[in-house]
Amino acid sequence: MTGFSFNLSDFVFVWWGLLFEAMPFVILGAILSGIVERCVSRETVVRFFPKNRFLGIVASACLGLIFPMCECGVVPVVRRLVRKGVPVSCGITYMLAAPIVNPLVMLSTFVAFSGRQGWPYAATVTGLRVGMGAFVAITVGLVVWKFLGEGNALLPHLENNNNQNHGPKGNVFADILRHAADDFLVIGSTLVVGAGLAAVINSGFSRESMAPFAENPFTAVTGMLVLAIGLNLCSEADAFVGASFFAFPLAAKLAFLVLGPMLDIKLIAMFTTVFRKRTIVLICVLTTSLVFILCTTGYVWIPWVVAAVGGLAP
Amino acid sequence: MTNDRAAWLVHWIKLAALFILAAFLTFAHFAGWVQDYLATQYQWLPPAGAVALILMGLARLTASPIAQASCCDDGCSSQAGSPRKAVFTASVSLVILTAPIVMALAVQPKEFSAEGMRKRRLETPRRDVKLDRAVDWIMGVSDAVEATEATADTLPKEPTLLELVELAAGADPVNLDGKFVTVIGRCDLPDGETSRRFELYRLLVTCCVADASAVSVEVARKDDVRLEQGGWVRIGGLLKFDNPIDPTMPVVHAATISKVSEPSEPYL
Repeated sequence: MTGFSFNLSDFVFVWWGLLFEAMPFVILGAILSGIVERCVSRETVVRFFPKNRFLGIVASACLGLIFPMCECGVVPVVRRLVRKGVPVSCGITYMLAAPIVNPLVMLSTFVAFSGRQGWPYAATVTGLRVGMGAFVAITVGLVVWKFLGEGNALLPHLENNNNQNHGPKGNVFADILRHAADDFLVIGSTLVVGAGLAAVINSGFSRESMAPFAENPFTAVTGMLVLAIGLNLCSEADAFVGASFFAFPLAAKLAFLVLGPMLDIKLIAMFTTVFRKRTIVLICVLTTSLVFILCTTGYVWIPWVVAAVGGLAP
Repeated sequence: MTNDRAAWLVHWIKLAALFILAAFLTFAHFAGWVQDYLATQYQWLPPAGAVALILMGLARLTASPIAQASCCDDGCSSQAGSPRKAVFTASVSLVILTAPIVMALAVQPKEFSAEGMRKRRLETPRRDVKLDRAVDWIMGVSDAVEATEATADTLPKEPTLLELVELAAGADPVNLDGKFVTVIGRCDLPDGETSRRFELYRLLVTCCVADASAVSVEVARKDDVRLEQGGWVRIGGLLKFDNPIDPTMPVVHAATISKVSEPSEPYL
């Protein structure tokens, strides 16, 4: 069997699998975005958001615990929040962290890894995933704040639109749905394109061809990072797929589990509706590099953590 | 093209996109397509999405096209450039959103091809049972041996393929060897309809088919009954560990093979 081959039927099957699953969450995100647009004023956002930017970024990384969102649904919400005055660095931190630092994903990770090695091991894996995800998200947020400059991160029409009065207000529900429709049509189109590209890789790629990559830390982690970006799995399901790569040690599996919800092909396509190219490049390079460094060095430190917490094997 | 004319066109193109998508999601639900693509617990998502899209479309219908174009960033003539460009952007969006619908209606895929299923098969690492025991002993898992014996005793008479594979992955082969099991799955026949050794598989789907993994066990048989590639069968037979490549992998030596209809929940 070759590592990659294309089959039209399999491609359409996976394409619609991704769309049937992701589209309702994008619709939900668009509706939440409509609620933010209609019911939350810019003044309210400014008043309630922490004045200290560092605290704001850290709080944004934990916001998923209260407002859990999957990676598809979070993009329209962040798109609207940053237009309402949420600092871009905090928006990006929330966007990257929320698909990992959220109760549903924590539960699914725990269940996926609570096999033969028992609950202490599953809890450790869950903790490592959440901790690493939050760390990467906060670091990216800080870099956007300190180095990129928040004024240069968004698409020009989103920046210029901050203070725009969005027409006469009518019925609340109708207004929310109209805003949601506009957001959905923009982000939904990019979702379709992104899911199509993802389906080419997902349906054409043979999982058995991953086995040779498991032989050393660099190829194992790199292979899992590429897989995370290419497979485009939902953050609630990816733990089950990640756990099934038996040949790979935990450090490499964590590369898959941490990067996947933050960055994949369909997400990159959706980012183009919010951020400038340089911001997208920064997010891609920084998240991938940080996860790579954490996970390759993780071959040394992760087994210590696992042993210390009481799990059995890395 | 005037701004009003462009706003009117954009308005109707967007409405068309919303209603076409909603119609397809509704059709996919009532035609039973969704159950081939999603795990049971997520099958409510497409119809719920369709309802939301219809409501969005109705909300857009109630507003004036010109008022909407003046307040929405993507249809706004001042930001989307010329009126012609606004119409073009909306048209491209409509084409992109309807392209997968056209593809789905043309191809109508219901399952993975045989090759597509094989790509989803996971390579199980070879086990060294003695080494496993030694590691368990060193790590202080004193009751590891008793635990594996217990798993052998708890093997159901008709386990799912996943239960069988998980038990075999954790148990000592000695404890499972010779056990009679009955399993249901689909045939992957490498040498055609009369293959003597083949794989019995089922797909494990957590959310959607994109995360599907093929769980499989090898089957050996002596009869020449013709089987169908991908056909559903119930196989009763003895578990033996005589795989020439990996003797820790179970092989079901079939005593009976009967064709069965697809279960109501085809995915594990």
